[in-house]
Amino acid sequence: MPKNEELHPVIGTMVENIEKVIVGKREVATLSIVALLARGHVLLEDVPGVGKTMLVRALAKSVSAQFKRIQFTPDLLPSDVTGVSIYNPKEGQFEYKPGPVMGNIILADEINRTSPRTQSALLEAMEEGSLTVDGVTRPLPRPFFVMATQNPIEYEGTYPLPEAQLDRFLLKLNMGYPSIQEEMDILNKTEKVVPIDQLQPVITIKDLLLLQEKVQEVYVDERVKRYIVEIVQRSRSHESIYLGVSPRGSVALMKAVQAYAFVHGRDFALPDDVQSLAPYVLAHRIILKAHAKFDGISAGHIISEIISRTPVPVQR
Amino acid sequence: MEQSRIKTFAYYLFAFWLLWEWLAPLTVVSDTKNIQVFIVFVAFYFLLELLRVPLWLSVCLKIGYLFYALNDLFFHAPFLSFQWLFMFGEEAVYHLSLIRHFQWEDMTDRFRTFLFFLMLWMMCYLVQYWLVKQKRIWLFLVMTFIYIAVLDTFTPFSGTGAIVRLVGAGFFLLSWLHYERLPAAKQPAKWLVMGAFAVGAALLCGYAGPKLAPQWPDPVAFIKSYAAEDREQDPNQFAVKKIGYGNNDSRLGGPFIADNTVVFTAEDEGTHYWRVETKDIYTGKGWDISDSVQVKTFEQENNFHQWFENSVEKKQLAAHVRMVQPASYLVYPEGLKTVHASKDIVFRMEAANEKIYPTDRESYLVPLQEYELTYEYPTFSIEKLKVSPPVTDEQILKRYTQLPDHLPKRVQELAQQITKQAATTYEKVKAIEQYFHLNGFAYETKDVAVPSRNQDYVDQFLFETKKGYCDNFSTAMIVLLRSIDIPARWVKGYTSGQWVDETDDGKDLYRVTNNNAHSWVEVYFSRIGWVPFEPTQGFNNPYEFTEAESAVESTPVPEQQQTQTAPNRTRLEEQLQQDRLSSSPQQNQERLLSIVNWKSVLSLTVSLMVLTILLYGTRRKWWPYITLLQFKYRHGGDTFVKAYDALLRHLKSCGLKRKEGQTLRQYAAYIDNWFGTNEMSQLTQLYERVIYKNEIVDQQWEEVKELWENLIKRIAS
Repeated sequence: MPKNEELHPVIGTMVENIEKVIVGKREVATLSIVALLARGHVLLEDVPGVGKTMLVRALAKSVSAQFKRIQFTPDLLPSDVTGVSIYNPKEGQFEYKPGPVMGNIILADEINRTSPRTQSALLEAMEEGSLTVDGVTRPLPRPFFVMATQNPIEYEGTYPLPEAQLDRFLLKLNMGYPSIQEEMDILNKTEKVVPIDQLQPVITIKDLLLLQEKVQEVYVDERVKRYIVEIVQRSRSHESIYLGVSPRGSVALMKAVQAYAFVHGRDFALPDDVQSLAPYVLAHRIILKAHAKFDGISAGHIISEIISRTPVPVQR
Repeated sequence: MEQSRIKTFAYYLFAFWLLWEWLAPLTVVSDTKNIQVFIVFVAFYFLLELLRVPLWLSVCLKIGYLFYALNDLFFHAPFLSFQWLFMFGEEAVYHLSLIRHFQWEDMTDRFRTFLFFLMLWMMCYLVQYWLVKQKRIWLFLVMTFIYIAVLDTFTPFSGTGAIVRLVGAGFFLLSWLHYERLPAAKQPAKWLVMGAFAVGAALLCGYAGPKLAPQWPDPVAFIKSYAAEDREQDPNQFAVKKIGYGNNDSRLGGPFIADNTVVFTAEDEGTHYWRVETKDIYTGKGWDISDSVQVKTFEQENNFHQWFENSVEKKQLAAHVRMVQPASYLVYPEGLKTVHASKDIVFRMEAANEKIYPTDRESYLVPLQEYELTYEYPTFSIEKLKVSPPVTDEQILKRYTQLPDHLPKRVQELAQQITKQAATTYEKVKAIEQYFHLNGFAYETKDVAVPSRNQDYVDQFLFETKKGYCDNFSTAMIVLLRSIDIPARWVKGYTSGQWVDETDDGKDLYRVTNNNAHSWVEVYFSRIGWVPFEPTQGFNNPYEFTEAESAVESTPVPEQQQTQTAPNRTRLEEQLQQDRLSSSPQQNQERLLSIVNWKSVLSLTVSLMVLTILLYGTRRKWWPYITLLQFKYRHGGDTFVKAYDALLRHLKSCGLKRKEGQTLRQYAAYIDNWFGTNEMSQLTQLYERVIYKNEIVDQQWEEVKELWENLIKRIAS
C-alpha cells in the first residue's frame, strides 16, 4: 500500500469533508470515492450502526448529488425500486413515476432482505446504466453510484446475493468498529449538533463527471496489466478456489486501479495500486472450495496469498 | 536515562577487561614485574571517562598519575618536591637523542615505562572510541584473540582461561553491540537473552566436551626452527625443545616432528656427516658439555687440530656450503682443513665441544651464509682398527668414559654380554653397533617416551621401549661402550642430505633440511683418532672402512661391516648412476623444469584460490565501488534501469533481499528503515516513473545519481 502518499487535492478535500462526519474511516471513504470515480458500485458488508448510511450520505452531500435511499424489505416489489407508470385520467395516458433508483447516489440498505426479483431489478440498473419500465428504456442520471449494504450476522429471512450478481459491485468493503479514541470523537462531535446537516458540498456534479473522464486517461503500463492478469490467472488455478475471477474481474481491477492511482495524484498506475485494491476487488468474485471454507480460510486471505506469490514486475 | 548510564558503565567495564587481558600476560612473557600500576592506570582512565570529567582536568589527572607512578617506581623522591621532574627532564632530553639515532637498546627502564604509559593511553583511547562511541569491537577482539593465541603458543604463558573468557564475554559483547547498533524499531526484546543463552551454551559445550588431540603436526616447531640460530648466542635463554638442529640436549626423549625446512645446501666431493658439535657428559636424561673455556682460533687454515693420526689414509676433498639463514656456527666435516669465507673471519673452536664459531677480530659473532672448505676425508683400515691398542690416555679415558652414578647395573651387564665374543676393541664396538640391528630395535619418531623422574634415558630405551630415533640409538651405544671403558662421544650435526644434482665441476649438490639433523657416535682409537659409528636403524655410516684382502674371511664382524656399509654406498651410487644413465642432460633439465613448473603452477593455483576466496569474502566491500565506477560517467538510455538493477543486486548480496511479491515501494521503505534514511524511497519514486510510465528522467538526473551513489556507498560501508 502506498503509504503516506498525498491524495489528489480535490479528492483530499472530499475525504476531509467526509471525515467531518465519519471518524477514522479514511480508507473506506477513499475507496468509496475510488469506486465512484471508476463508475463502479460498492457493497458494504457490516453490522448495523457503524456508519454505513452516514458515509453514503456524507459522500452524497460532498458532491451535491441527489441522494436516494431504498430500505429493502422482503415485501418490496421491483416497481418500488424502478418506479411505475400510473394512468393519468386527466391526460388520458400512463405517466411514469420514477422510483428511488432514479438518483445520483443511492443507498440500498440491507439488500439481502428483499426477494431476488427486486434485487435483480436494482442490479440490472447498475449494470446497464439504464432502466426499462413498461417497455420504455430510460437512462439513469449521471453519475450513478450505488452503495448497497448487507448484514453478515442475520441470515433469518434473507436472500443472500448469488455470486454471479456479487460481481456487479466493483468493491466490497467492510466498515469495522471504531477505536476507543475514534468513538470518543464521535460522541464529542454529536453531543451538540448533527454533523451531517452542516456538511457543505465541495465539488459539483459537473466536476465529478470531469474527474471520471480523467480517471480513464490514467496510464496503465503493459507490465501492470500483465501483473493484474497474472494475479487473476492464479486465482483460477488455486487449489482452494472453486471458481476463479472472471475477465470482468480483471477489467474491474484495472478500472479501480486507474481510479486509485488518480486519487493518489498519479497519472500512471503502480503494482502497489493493484496490491492495495485486489482484496476489495477480487475477494467477492471467487468461490472457495468446501474444504477451504471448513478450514476457516477467507477469500481475502487467499487473495493476499496469491499477491504475495505473484512476482511484481520491476524490470523492463 | 538510568538505563543508559548502566549501559555506559558496562561498556567501560568491558573496555577495562579487554585491556586487562592484554596486560595480564606481561608478567609471564616479559620481565615486567609490576603490572598493577598499568592496570590501575587503565582503570583510572576509564573511571575519568565514565564520570565525564572535563578534558583538561582529566588530562591533568592522568599525567599526574603517570608521573606519580614513575616516581614511585624509579625515582623514589618525594613526589611534591618535584626533584624527580628535573631528573626526568634530563632523562627525556637524553632519550630524545637516543630515539633519533634508533638506539632503542640503550633506553633506561624509566623511559621505557614512560613510553609504555603513553602507548597505554593511546590504547585506552582507541578501545574507548571503538567500544563506547562506535559500538564496534570486532577488530580489536580478533587482535586480542591473536595476541593470546600467539603468546600461548610461543611463550610459557597459558592462555586457556583468557581464551574461554574472550569467547564468552567477547561474543556476548559483540552481539550486544550489534543489537545496540540496530535502529530502535528493529531491536527484538529477546535478543540479549537469546544471545547470552547461545554464547553460554556454546561455552559450556566447548568446556565440558571431549577435546581431540592435535590432528596436525605442530606448525610452531617449523617456525621455531627458524629462530634457532638467534638463540645460538645465548644458549641458556630458552629451554624449548626444538625440531631439527638444537642446542639443548639435557633432556632427551619425546616425539619428533618432521620438518622439511632447508637448512643449507652443499656442493661436495664426498659423502660424510656434517658436524656441528660434540658432547661428552651423559647425565642420565641427556647430554651436557664439560665446562671448559679453552678456545682455539684459526683463520683460514686449521693448523692446530689434528683430526686423525698420520696412520689414517686420507684424501683431500673440497666442499662449498650455502646456508639458507646465516648461521653463527660452522657445519663442517670431520677432518676440516681450511675454511674460506668472503669476509675476514677468525674461527674459534671451543675445545669442549668442537663447535666452531665464525667471529671478527673483536670476537663478535659474524653469522656466515656461505663458505668453502677443504677437508681430509679418511678411509679407515679395519686392519689397523683391530690392532689399535686399548686407550691409555688418562685424560681421554676420564672424560669420555664418564657415566652417571645412578646408571642401572643392567646396562653394563648387557654391554658385557654383547661383547663377550669380541676380542678387540674394534670388534666390541662393532658388536654393540650391530646389537641394535639384530635385536628388534625400531626407528620411531612419534611414539617416543620421555624417561620419568627416576628413570635413565638409555635404560628405558634398551630394556623397555626399544624404539626411538638417532638420539636414542647413539646415546645408548655410547653408554654401552663407556660402561665397558671404551671412550666414546656424542656428535651432533646433519647427515649428508638429499642428493639434488651434479654441478658443472663434477661435485654433487646436496640439500640438507631439518629432517637431516642427526646424532651419531665417535669412538676413540689409539693411534687412529675419533672414528664415527652409526647405530641408528635405517642410517648408514658414510665413511669408508677398508679391509685387507686376506682378512675377509678371518672374522665375521668385518664381514658384517662390509655388508652393511658397502652395499649402501653402492646403492646410493647406483641410484645416482641410474639417474645419470636414464636421462641425457637435456632430459634431466627438462625433468627439473617440469618439477619446477609443476611446483610453480601449484603455488600459483593455491595463491589464486586464496586470492579468489579473499576477494569473494570481501566482495561486499569492493564490488559496490566497481559498480560505482561502472555507472559514474554513463548517462541516459537504460543507464538508470541498469544502475537500479545493480543496486537491487547489491542489496540482495547484503542480505536485504526483495521478496518476489514485494513492490518496489514496500522494498524501498524496508531498505530506508534499515539504513535510517529515505534515499531509497526517493530513488524508487523516480524509478517508478521510468518503469511504469515510460518516462525519461533527464531533469532529475543529478538527483538520481546522487541518491544512487549514496545508497551504493551505504551498502559498501
